[in-house]
Amino acid sequence: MSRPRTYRPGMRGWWQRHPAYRRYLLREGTSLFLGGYALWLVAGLLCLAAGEAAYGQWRALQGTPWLFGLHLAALMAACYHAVTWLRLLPLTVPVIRLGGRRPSDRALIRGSWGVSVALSAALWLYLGGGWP
Amino acid sequence: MRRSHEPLLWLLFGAGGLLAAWLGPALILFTGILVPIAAERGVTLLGYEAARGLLQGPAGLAAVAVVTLLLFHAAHRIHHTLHDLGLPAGRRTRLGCYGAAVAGGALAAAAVLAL
Repeated sequence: MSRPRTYRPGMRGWWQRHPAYRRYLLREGTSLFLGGYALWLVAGLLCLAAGEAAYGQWRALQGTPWLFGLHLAALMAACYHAVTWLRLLPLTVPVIRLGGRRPSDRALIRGSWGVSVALSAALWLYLGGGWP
Repeated sequence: MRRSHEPLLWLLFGAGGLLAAWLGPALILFTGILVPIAAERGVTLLGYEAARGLLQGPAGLAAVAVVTLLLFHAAHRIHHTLHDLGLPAGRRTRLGCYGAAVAGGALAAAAVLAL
């Protein structure tokens, strides 16, 4: 006997079917900018190792409108990534116990934002030459 | 049963994602936005000597780790999103994505070691 023929919509253009699907693609799309930025940093490290002239050229390129705009886009992508990533932490991290008790989801997310602020401040101090 | 590499890859993806969430905005804002704006006003941030000094010792190692994990995070997401979009994501795209991450990390390590 043949299988009854049922309607199967297929997966073509699935992201057009719901706003949540588009947000999902937007979230995954942030990785393009994060990866591109990381590659740009690798290029900067290579130029730094190659010498002062090469590093100067890399720095000069940073100031061109195209790369400045790309960095602005990467900044927005990183912020969207941070919001979505930290919001999902209660689902993605293993069970954490503090003093025998599980912190609430809210406390976990707030704590992770606190870590973000502390690490970012330390990074800025370090890169700015103010610390240690 | 053949063991899957997926848990290891997910671990690298997750570590990179957490680092990107914690440090990404501050790092991009500093190196990509503030440095050129300051340069326009005649203030040199992350100049040649300063950048070399900042990457000495454990900080250089940390920089390599951050860059490599960011690359792995992106590689993993891009590979899986290709599949979600219905594009042929198989051995070749996997090799391309993770291979680029490994190559980028190796280049970063070589550069920091050569400082």
